[in-house]
Amino acid sequence: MSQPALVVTDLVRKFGDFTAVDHVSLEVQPGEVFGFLGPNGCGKSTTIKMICGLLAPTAGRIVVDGLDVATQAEAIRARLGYVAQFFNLYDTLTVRENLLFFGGVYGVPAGELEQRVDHWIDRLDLGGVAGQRAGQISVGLQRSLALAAAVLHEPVMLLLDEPTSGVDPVARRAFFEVIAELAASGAAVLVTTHVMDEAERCHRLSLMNRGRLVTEGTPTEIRALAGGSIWQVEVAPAGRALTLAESRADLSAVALFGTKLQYRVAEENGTGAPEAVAEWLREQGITTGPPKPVRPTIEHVFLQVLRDAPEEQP
Amino acid sequence: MRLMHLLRKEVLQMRRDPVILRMILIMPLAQTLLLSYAANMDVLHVPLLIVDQDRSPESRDLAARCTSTESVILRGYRGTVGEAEADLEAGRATLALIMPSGMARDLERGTATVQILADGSESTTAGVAAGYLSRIIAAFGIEAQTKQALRRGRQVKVGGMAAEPRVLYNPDLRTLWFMAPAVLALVLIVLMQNITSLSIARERELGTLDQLMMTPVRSWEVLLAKLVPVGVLGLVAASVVTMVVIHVIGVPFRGSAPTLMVSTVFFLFSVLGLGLLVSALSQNQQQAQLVSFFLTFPSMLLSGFIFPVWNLPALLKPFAYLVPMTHYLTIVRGTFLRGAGLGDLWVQLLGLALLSALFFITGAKLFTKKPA
Repeated sequence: MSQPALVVTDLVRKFGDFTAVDHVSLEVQPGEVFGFLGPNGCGKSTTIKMICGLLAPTAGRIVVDGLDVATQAEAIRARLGYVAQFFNLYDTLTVRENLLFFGGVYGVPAGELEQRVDHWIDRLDLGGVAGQRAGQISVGLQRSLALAAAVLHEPVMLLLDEPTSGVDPVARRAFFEVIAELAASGAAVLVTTHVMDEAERCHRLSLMNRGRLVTEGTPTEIRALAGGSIWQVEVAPAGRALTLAESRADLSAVALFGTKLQYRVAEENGTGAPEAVAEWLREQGITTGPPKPVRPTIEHVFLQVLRDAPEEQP
Repeated sequence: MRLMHLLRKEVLQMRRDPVILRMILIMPLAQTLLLSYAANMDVLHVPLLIVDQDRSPESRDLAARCTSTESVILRGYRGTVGEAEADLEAGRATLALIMPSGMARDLERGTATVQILADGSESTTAGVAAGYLSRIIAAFGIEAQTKQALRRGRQVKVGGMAAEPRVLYNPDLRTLWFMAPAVLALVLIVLMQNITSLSIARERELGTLDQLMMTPVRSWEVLLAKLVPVGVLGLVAASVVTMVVIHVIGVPFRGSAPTLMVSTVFFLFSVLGLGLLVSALSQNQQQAQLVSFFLTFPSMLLSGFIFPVWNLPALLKPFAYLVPMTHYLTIVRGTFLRGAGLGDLWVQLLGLALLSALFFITGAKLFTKKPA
């Protein structure tokens, strides 16, 4: 097996007394799409910034393509592509000018630059806005532009920090198709997200919470962590049903989707348990339909992990 | 190669920024004309009141002489001292000449006194104009005594020593000649320091600097690409302002153009360095503007732009030499009016070079510092 594209060992970052990243270790292989999941403020972006060399780690080691970030940051930067959480390109330059600029500073040979820019404009459907200023195109197109700017130099490692925030689901799917293609051609991709359907498209996932990696595995493995069964029931009034369900210690992964209440029932509670919950809700004055089983998703695991995580003492 | 891409980007950004374009085209001209004429400290047309209680041929003669100078303008006659004071208090006049009754008689005895009232709230102009009047009055007194003595057939000896000042380089002591070259320095500092610091602070604020620092570019390349176009614009602005100062305002240029050019380049370096320092200390454009603003005041107050450096309290003097404008002002005033050459100005050039180095090194250090 070829050498890993990224190896992070015992990475720590403190801001004063606050530990934003707490002994994080991970490895990403070439050709792999690695999903980095976690709620806002869990330390995902801080980790990415340290991998990029924008932020110095308090402790730990980061190796990209065999090079240590601490000593060879510059050589590493040429091997990285980075799409930031917020649009970070030049809003007064046109889409095309931005791409020519970033391709240029990344050292794409002058003879190939135009051709690669045209290729990515075409591939990411930016043709219609190539001559417009980047600040005037839609958020979705800005995301595509940022991705194009990050891949022109064919990076070994692509870092995407919530690349699809503010993008509609159709564009998001197209976006992930491109990411999958890049991985297929040998790039390693590290993508942070809190959108679950994006997580499902990753080869491997890591769940992060309060600066720590909670669990890691393929999406299937992660889903399997959700023991017991997930049930869904129509409820009215929905808000009160949610409050009631959350108050029960024997239910986990409680969530509300419109008027549908979901909850996980542990296996040891027996087969009659899902119906018993609905019955109990009716006794509390909630109108319910019959409970139906739901295929567990990563979101369920995620909710469960967050719920099980011990509350930190202030 | 990378530098070319960075430079092209800076030029494109600058061309698309309507504010910067307007700042560069209009601000130097507007500031030069406005400041040159507004910062005029020549004492002209100070409003004067006359209270003539003597009503003699002599008092009328003295009044006529006092109002014949350009420094004052006769606002009118008042009957009493009280009326004149009321007008001074209301700000309708700055000076009042009071000739008491019996002045002509006292003049014969050689004991005549007249009084000048001056509005101290306009201390500079009132003081200077009162000085002019005193000289006219003194001359008038001597003349009157001489005449009388001659009439009586007596010999008189008057005076004994006279100074005959001859002012070199600016014989009429025109403030405009003194101020207009200095405005060149001020315009450059306000314009260049602002454009530099804003352009870097904007990238920081918008996050583009993060994205840029993610690429293999080195910080010095980023800074150089930012500073070169601003420096070129600075030279253009400096040339335009110099032309205006010479041909529109009419200040004589007695020095050599290359000396001024070389000095201006040195000065621009130090100003760009200051801009870099300001931006390194600011997280966003608003902070950068505030810091610039607070740096401009010491520049004006300490540099000799308004008050001479040797007039500063001993405690402040060392700070004056940390202000690039102090050195540049000596240079521009020297080249314009005295025709000073590089041989006379090397100390100032050295000062500018040292300051540039100090600002650049500190600014670049702070700029490249990673958040710890």
